[in-house]
Parts: sequence; structure tokens; C-alpha cells
Amino acid sequence: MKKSMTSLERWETTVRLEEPDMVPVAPLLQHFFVKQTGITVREYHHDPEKAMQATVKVLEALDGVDAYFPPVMGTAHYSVFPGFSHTSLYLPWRIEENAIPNFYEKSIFEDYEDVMENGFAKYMRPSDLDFDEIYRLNFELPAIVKNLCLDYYRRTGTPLFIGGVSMLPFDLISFMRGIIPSATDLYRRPEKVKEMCDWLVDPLVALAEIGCVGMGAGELPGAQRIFFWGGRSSATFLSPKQFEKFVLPNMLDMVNRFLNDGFDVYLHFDGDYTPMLEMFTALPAKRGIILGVEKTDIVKAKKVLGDRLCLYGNITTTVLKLGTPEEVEAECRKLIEACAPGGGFILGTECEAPWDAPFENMKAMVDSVKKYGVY
Amino acid sequence: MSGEIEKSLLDLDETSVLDAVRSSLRSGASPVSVIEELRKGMEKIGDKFGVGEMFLSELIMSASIFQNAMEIIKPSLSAGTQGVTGKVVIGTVLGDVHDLGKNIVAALLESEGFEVFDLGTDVPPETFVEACKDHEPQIVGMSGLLLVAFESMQKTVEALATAGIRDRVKIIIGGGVTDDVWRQRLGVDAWAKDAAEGVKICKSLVRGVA
Repeated sequence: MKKSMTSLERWETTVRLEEPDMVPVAPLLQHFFVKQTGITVREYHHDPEKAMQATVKVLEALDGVDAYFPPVMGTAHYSVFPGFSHTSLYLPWRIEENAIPNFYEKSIFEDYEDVMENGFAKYMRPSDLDFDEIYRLNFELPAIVKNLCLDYYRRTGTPLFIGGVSMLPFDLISFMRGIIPSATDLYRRPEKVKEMCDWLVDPLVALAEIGCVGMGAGELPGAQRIFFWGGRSSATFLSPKQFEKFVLPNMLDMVNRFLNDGFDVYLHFDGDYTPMLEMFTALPAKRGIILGVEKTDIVKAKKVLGDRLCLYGNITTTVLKLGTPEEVEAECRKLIEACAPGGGFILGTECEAPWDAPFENMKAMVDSVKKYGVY
Repeated sequence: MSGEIEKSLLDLDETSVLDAVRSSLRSGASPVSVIEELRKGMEKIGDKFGVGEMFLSELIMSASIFQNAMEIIKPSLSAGTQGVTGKVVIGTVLGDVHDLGKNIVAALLESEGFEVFDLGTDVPPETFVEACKDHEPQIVGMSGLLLVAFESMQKTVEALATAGIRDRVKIIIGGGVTDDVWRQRLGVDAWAKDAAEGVKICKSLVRGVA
């Protein structure tokens, strides 16, 4: 087949809800780069050159990925600002040399009032890294990563998928309180939960936007897009009524602020939001929002939201890890046929692709758009 | 009192449930009948969860109310009035530390009268084997959220077979990335898509074994 668009043109056309030359494909890879190239997880998280080399090597072998996540996750895992659930400086993550970081859920705070009055400083945890390395990860690495990604864009035309990160306030609270206390808090102190959700909006918006700017927003295509994470607030945990009360107002407020400030939004929503899809019609329509779904019924999402925002997803983790290339291809074909008509669909994974998926399976996914996704 | 406890539990109205439990006991209701009403409520909540009418946060809250109600009832209970439904050895398999789902399943199983031996997280195959020798359960429950769980579950099934225990227990898996394909590939007896289904399956498995 003949490619007539660059990755960026294909992506932008799709996000505008028009039909590009073919369906863009962008599996969320990250640790797959680690496994495929034999670098360690720590190197991928801390060493920009090695991480980028691994990323480029695998992207070249896959030949056809339209956007990728910037490497070096150490910045997120050692963030001095508790604006994302993955920072081990506040939350009980176990980070090892060569394993995917593991989260040991436990409640890190009890008193909502105290946090809102005095902040999170006293909840900081001892780290396995020294201060210099934490400083480097937070304040020096983003610029290095940005330049590596910019260089790669200039050579190949491959844009970034995202620049900065953010998450829904309720979801962050749930990570910090723990899943069981955050469930019972909704009944025993609902007003405090709500108050803290609202309290978190300003810092979360600021941190995400600073992240995008640091990654080259305005200069490097894709860096202006915010990875806006939800999962705890899905129907896998919350009822639609709880979502409407504790999550939806913040979600709409934050998305509107991101868009009005000139940023783009990728809602990376793990879990199952199918019962909430009707509420998503309150999101600004045709403003370049991408909704990535994991367990949400993507065909239903296409029906309810297809004329308003772009969908991303959701080749299953199981087929990528345990299936054959033929089974992967069949799943891709089915998804493309259901979601691609009219544009507004990016073929992707559920959440992060399994890091130990066979290369042939990932290749089958990337190649499937050339076979079945040509408009 | 009839139905009030159950109804308040279904509404997740903690204050009303606990008040109703206290007043039932004060007016002479037998502790077992009060527990039975709570259990009925929990069962209905489990059913509603199973068909997508209630959600995990609500299930967690109901379990928490149940526990608080049990704290009120316990002093009135004379030992030995409750029969044991069955024994379950449960754990999150080696290499994985995610225990939320497993904990919910364990709590719900206990509320259904199971004796639960919770081995915690990151549990090696040999610990499952030892626990089975010590407690002679009818059911072994393996939980995992991460993909690494697949290999660990495989090794645990093999270790149980090598120890000659496999035929004496039913094995159920659940959590995170598991699905029915995992059940088939692992050759285990059941896969539960969520905690409430897991409890239902355990109940039917025990009937099958006994």
C-alpha cells in the first residue's frame, strides 16, 4: 500500500475526526523497549541516551508506529511534586533494577484537613536515590529527553504521543488513601473528599502544563498533549452516580482549562467507563480530545462519542502476550472495521502493552493498519 | 425488624444498619438470625454487583458495614453456632504484590462462613503446597494483577501436582489480567471475573468436592 501522509498528518487528520490515508497505530510500549533490547528497567528510567536508543531501535524494527511515549520514566517515579500516582517519593512503590515498578497500596494520609492546610511535604518517604540523582531526574533530564525526541522527530517525522502528565483528582486521592479507605470515605466523609478533589485541580493543571512545556510543547509535535489519567474513577470501582458527583466536575474543568491554555488532551482511561459514556458528551466536542479506553466498550464509545472526539484502543493485553500473530491480526481487523469509519480512531493497546509480548505479535499489530486500515 | 437490616444494608446506610442491629439484639432476636439477615443483604449486593447494578466501591462499603455490624454482634454469639462452609487457601502468587482483590474475596468468603487461610502476597509455590498440607482446604485461590503471575500460577499448579495435592483441591484464579484463556492454559478449575463471582464459584466448588 502507498503511504500518502506523514505520521503527524495522519494523526492530526484523525484527531480532527476526518479520514486520513490509513488508521494511525500507536501501541503504548515503554517497558517493551526494555525487554526487546536487553537494557535494564533502571537504564530505561534514568539514562536518556540508552532509553532513547532502545526506543528508536524497536520503533525502527516495528516500522510504522505513528507516535510514542517519551522515555525516562524516572522523572515520574521520583517526582518531587505529588501530582501523579507514580512518584515513589510519596507513594509506596517498589522500584528495582530490572522489574516493572510495583505498587504496594497503603494509606499514606488520614486527615484531609491537614493535607489541605499544610500540603504533602510531611508525607515524603525516604528514597533509595540520593538528592543529586532526584534533582537530576526532576530538573535536568526533561530537557535532555526533549532534545533527543526533537532530533528523532527531525530525522523521521515521528511525533510524541504526549508531553506532560496529569490525573483525575479523585483517582490521585484514591491512590494516596488506598482503595478501601477511599471507598468508605465516600460514605463517611464525602464533603472532605469533594473538597480535596477541588483543592487538587490548580496544582494538577499547573504541573501538567509545565511538563508539556519542558518536553517542548510548541516546538516538538505531540509534546503539547497531556496524558490525563483515570482508572480508579471507572465503573470498575465507582458507581456512575459517584462519578457524576466526585469526578465529572473536575474532569470537565481540567479538560477545559487545558484546551483553553492551548494544550491537547489524551484521556487515558483504564478500567471500564461504559456506564459513564453518556456523561462524556459534556466534554468539548471536536476539540482534538483523544479518549483511550482499556475495558470500556469501544464500539459503544464510537456510537455515543464518535462524532465528538477521537478514540484510542484497545487491543487486549492477553492476545498480545499469549496469542499468535494471526490472532492479533484478527483482533486488530475487527476493531478497525468497527471503529475506523469516518476517522477519529487510533489503533492502540489497552494500557501499556505487555513488556514480554512476542515481537511478532507487536509487529502484527503495527502491520494490521496497512492491511485493513487503509481508507 | 424484619427486613430493615437488609434494606438499610442495600442502601449502604451504615447508621441505620448498626442501629437496627443493636435494637434487634436488644429486643431479643437471636444473633444468628441477625447475621442471617445481614448475610442475605450481602448476597443481594453481590448479585447486584454481578449484573452491574452495584459497583466495587459499594461492595467495599457493604463489607465494611458488615464488619462493623459483626463487631456489635460478636459478644452475643456463643462459640460454635456457626458452621464452616469450607476451607480456602488463598494468596497473591510469587512476583506480584497486589492484594486488594484477594483481600476483598477473603473478606467476602469469611462473611459466607468459609475458613480462609490468607497467605498474603508474593507467595511462592512451596508455601501454597505447605498450606494445603497443613489446612487441607477444598479450594486454592490464586490471585494476580501482573503478567508475571501467569508463570507463577503455572509453577504453583505444577508444585501442587508434584506434591500429590492437585486432585484433592479445586483451583480458582482471579485478578487483574487473568481471564478464561488463562484458566484453560493453566488447566485450573475456575476463573472468577470479580470478587462476588469468586465467592459464588467457591460455594459451588465446595458442594462439588464435599
